[in-house]
Amino acid sequence: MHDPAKRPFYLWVLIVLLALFGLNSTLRLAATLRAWEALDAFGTQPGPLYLAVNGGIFALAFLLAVTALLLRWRVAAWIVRGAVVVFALWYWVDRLALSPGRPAENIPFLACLTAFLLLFSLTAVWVWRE
Amino acid sequence: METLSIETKLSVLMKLLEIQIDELERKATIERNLFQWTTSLLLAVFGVVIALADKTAALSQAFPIKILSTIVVSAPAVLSIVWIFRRSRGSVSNTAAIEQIQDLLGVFDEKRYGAHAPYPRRWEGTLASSHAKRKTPYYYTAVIMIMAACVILAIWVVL
Repeated sequence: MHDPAKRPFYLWVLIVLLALFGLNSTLRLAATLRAWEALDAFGTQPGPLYLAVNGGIFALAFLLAVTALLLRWRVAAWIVRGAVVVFALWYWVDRLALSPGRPAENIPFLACLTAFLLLFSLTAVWVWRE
Repeated sequence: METLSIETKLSVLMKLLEIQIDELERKATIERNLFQWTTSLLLAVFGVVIALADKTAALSQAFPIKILSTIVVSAPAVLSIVWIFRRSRGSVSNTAAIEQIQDLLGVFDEKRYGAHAPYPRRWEGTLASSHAKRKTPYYYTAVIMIMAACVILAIWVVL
């Protein structure tokens, strides 16, 4: 019998994934803050401020999503949907428009990975809420 | 043969109704679990593909490995879709049984319950037909197929 009080295994996988993405964003923020002067001196584009701001925003967004799922907030599903969709959009805008120097050979694989993780996250909250 | 009393008939009907509702819930839970385990398995396979990226390209058996990996991903996905639809079709007969029991209990009949029947008359005969049209198994199938396609594409692109 389905017990709504018990978090399904599927949701734990999502929580771990979101926590990993949050950790990745936090590390990006920390590394940018530590190497701020060097990044500034080398004139990296789009600049350390951009790296720090998006690292901070996504670290907070994923932390909020993990907290919302763990504490079963009523709006948890919407927070998760918002965080993953905005992150996926930002990732592709950043990759294609803001960081044009990156190699392009991994595009099909990264497109598959993005679609897969987006679908996994969205269906996990859908199944949980159903 | 001795005719059953009204109380006995009622308790038998209530028990049968409970059994059918439990069975309906059990099938829905199995459907959901099959979906969750399949997508989690696909996620795990995607993780393995990332871990093994570019490590098999130099092997002479790279092509058979890709074929085998595609089968390993496709087979559970297809089986899971077949099982989900089997459960879904089976649950329609449970809803038909529930409708029949509700009809015997007269839950749509105002005369039996005084001023108001427990359920409105417009609900009569709609449970099985609406259950047969439910879209959830189709959503599960679409998600499993897209995820499996992503994993298979990743296998052929990076392995």
